[in-house]
Amino acid sequence: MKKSMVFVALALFMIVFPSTVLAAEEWETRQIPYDVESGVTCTLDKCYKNLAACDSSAGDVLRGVIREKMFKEGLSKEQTYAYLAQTYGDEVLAAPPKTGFNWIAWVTPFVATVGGGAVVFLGLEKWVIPARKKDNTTDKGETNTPITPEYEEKLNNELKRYL
Amino acid sequence: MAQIGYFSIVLALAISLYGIIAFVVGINSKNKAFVDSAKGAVLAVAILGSVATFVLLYFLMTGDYSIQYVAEYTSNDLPIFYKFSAWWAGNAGSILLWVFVLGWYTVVVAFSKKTKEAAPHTSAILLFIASFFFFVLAYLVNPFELNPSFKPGMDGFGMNPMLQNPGMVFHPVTLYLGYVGFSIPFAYAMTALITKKADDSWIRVTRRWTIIAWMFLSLGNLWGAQWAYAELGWGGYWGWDPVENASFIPWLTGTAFLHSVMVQERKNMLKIWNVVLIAITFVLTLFGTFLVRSGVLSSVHAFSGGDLGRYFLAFLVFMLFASIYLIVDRRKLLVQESNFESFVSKETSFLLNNLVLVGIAFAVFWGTIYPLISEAFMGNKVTVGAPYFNSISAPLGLILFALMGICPLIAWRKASLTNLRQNFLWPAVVGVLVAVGLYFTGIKKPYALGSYAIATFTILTILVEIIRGMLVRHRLTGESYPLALLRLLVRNRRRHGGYIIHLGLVLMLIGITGSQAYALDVTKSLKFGEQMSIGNYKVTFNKLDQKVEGKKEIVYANMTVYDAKKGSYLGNIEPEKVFYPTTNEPSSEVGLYSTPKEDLYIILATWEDDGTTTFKAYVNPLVFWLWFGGYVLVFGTLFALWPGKGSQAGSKYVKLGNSEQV
Repeated sequence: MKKSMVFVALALFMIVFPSTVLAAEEWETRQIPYDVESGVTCTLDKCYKNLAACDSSAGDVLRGVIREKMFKEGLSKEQTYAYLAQTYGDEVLAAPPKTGFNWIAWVTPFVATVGGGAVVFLGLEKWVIPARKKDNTTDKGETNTPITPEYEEKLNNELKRYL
Repeated sequence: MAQIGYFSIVLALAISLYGIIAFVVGINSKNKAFVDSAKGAVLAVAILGSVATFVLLYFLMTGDYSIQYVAEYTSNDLPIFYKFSAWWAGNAGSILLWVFVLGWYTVVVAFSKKTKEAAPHTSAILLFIASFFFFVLAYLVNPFELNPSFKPGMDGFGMNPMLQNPGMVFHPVTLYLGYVGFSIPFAYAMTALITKKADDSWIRVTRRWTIIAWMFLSLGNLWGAQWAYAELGWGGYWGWDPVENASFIPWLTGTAFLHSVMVQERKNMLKIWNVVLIAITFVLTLFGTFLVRSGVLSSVHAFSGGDLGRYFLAFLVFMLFASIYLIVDRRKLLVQESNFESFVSKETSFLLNNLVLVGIAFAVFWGTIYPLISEAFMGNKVTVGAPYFNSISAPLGLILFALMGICPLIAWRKASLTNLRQNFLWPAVVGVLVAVGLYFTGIKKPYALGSYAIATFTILTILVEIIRGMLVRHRLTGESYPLALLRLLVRNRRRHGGYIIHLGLVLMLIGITGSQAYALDVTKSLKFGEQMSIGNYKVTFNKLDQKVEGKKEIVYANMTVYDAKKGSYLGNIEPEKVFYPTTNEPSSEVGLYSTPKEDLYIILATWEDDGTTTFKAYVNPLVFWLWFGGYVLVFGTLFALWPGKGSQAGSKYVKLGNSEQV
């Protein structure tokens, strides 16, 4: 009984062990998608390049961590980023996380542009409405004056002189 | 010899200070002798700056390592071309380049016959800026500092390998020409405020300066992108690095200024806004210089400048507050003489264009300094990189490109519905149809579709306008169509140069969209004779070999590129890793097979003893159009700038009582 147990265990080990070796090789060499890699900054060894652009050994260390988390442990992109931020600090992410104080980074440019747009609109309203009223009182009937053939001929002659 | 160089700098500082005083005394006492003496000082400063420059170049060319700067940035094996470019490879040399350019620009201003009245004030302001830079050279980063560890027969440390690329030789010079160039319109604007002559004459005088500065800044950014693409070996061309951003932000505000001055030229409006914009643009050029030298933000481009950053910050803040004071104090002179008459008109579209350009500039500025803000408020420095900048600037950028199609064709004062329909209906319809067509061919990313729809719309509005003008000219003059087209373009170079610039920018948009949205990448390890596939290509790895060029050791892979479908031979490429004795990290030379449709871009990553070699391969669609569009933009700028009839601004378009002056 004992012998057969050992045999079964050994057989199982023989079957499982090569496959685990293959699995390890597979995740270790798998290509990290570009959009994942480009979301990370290589902060090791004061490199500060985007990981997609970094070919130093420091970059390879980070790539190894990402492969382990994504391909071995099956974490999603967001979970991998969360792990990286927890381990190496927020600086490792190529964009500020959309949480807490960092929302300011994302929102401010749009708020400023929309605010600027509102100021422009209010300014225009201040200028345009009186101008419209003035136009209605002074320019009535002048806008759709038909162009006579004589006038068109004169205009063409003038244009020819200056073209 | 080194003493001559250093003495030139100290003397230039003293004479520039004298020049400022002589200008002020001459202007206040209306004493021509003082003004003439100050003009002589301007010339002397330019000559002394040149003497210092030539002395430094002599040391660089002869490899005199008793000078610290020469030992730090050159070596015996460095080709003569790069020994020359070492002039601006380091901190001190690049500041010397700045004063060299500024010195001669100031001479042109001081001796200008067209602007005799404004020249003394303007030259005094420019001398003030120059004196700051000479102070920096004299007391903070002396380019002629002696090398304490000099020994006869020693070799220099050599130039950073990444800088040993033709792109990196021209890229900094053009950027500096742009940066320094914006000092001139700024100085004229401040002169207009000081002398209380804040009409649009300063704008007319500085138009050429502004456009030339803008063109050089454009070219500097373009060449920087080309250098990054070919040399950094990461498949991209713009990394949104803080230093890259620092040159992009003044480009954006400078572009806004170029557009808004047209409204002042034609309608005497936006006066205060134009002065604010040029002041911001100038201060931002200083901000870029500060960022490169302060070390406050991490960047692959930065110089280590010790305390230098503080001095630049102090100067920047001083110039900013001096400008603000003058603008606030003279605000009554800057009241616009006419108003907006409609929500839909050329002037309001320019206002929107300015809003978006400044909005993007603010977004990039905000992202660039945000790490400092997060550190100040949260205690940790976050990184703000490409994913952030792409998401923030893409929507605003698309609005900007749509406005690029709308602004030139919309009427001044008030646009009618007929005008809008006539100019924009068909281009808009075709733009939408193109997007729908692309959707069914497999392009499904919303930004890419929006981008191509807008690019189509903008190109069509420009082409329709040009063709319409050609037809009218043909009808009126009887000229053949090609002649009518040529004369139409040449007779109003200012307007049509602008259209060409817009076309160039749209081509760049097409290139950026293609390469950002649909790039492919594969990393693969190959043995000799094995193939890898990517996109429409099959690439065979023939051999890995090495060669020696001077002191460089080059490891290269020979690869043959085939069409994956037809199997036909397309060419051979050789990605390289170059090892320099002076640095530990090798630099990359990418293997590139480029066509207008796409680039096959291969980087030699690593190799094993048995010859197994790892490659990173990219297919970047439409990158060619990014470079081509950039050169179209430069051509359009030169076309608009070319002097003579056709380069002048149009006439005023303002209401005088009930009549109009056209």
